[in-house]
Amino acid sequence: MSSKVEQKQNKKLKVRVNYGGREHPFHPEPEELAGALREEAMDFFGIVADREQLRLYRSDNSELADGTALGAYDLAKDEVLILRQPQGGGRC
Amino acid sequence: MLRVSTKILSDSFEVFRSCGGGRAECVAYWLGPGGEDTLVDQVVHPRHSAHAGGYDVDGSWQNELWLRLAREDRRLLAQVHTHPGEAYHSHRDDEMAALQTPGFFSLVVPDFALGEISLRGTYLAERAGDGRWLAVDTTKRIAIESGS
Repeated sequence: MSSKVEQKQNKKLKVRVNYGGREHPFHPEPEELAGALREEAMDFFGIVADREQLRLYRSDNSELADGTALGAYDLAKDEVLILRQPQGGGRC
Repeated sequence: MLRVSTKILSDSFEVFRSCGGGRAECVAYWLGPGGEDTLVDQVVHPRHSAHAGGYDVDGSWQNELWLRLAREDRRLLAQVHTHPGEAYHSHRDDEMAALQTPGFFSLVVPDFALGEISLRGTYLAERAGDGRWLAVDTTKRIAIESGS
């Protein structure tokens, strides 16, 4: 493996996304937008509805903005991001 | 087919009655062990706000539940909530469900759950593969089993 490839791999983030208790690791680049990770995670979890409503949250309940690069969040290695609705709810 | 004990069903009604008090909607989640798509062995009561015509689950609470489910290898199998009158799935029930994956169930209990503890009069919706909610026959999707 060339050193350039090694450097690029070392730069990648390592996070886990939790959706309804199912967790899966993802390895995005720091430059990747949170919205792209959100899309990738929704594809992985087989989400078929209301995709525009789901958001990524950190465990302190702060939301990752779609248009912000993941590197800006100083995510810890193996940090778990929560994929969910802002609020579950209903109305009669 | 979800397998739900009479105790889980009566515990759910108890939550709805004590929390909603016949004046506000209420919600419960039915959980089961990981790798098991049918057995409901626990009912949990989300932290939520509510009034006579709706409810909202607290986001932080939902975070905690998602993390706990992963830690304990458990699954959310269905959401159950009350309506003040007739049971049906409203537009907001469709859009604000806890999960967006096929096979997830949403059960609506009429009359703030003040009636008979049974599935009579309830409305069951199942998320289909194309994302739509389909009304399904409760008796064909939920088996009430005696015991705890």
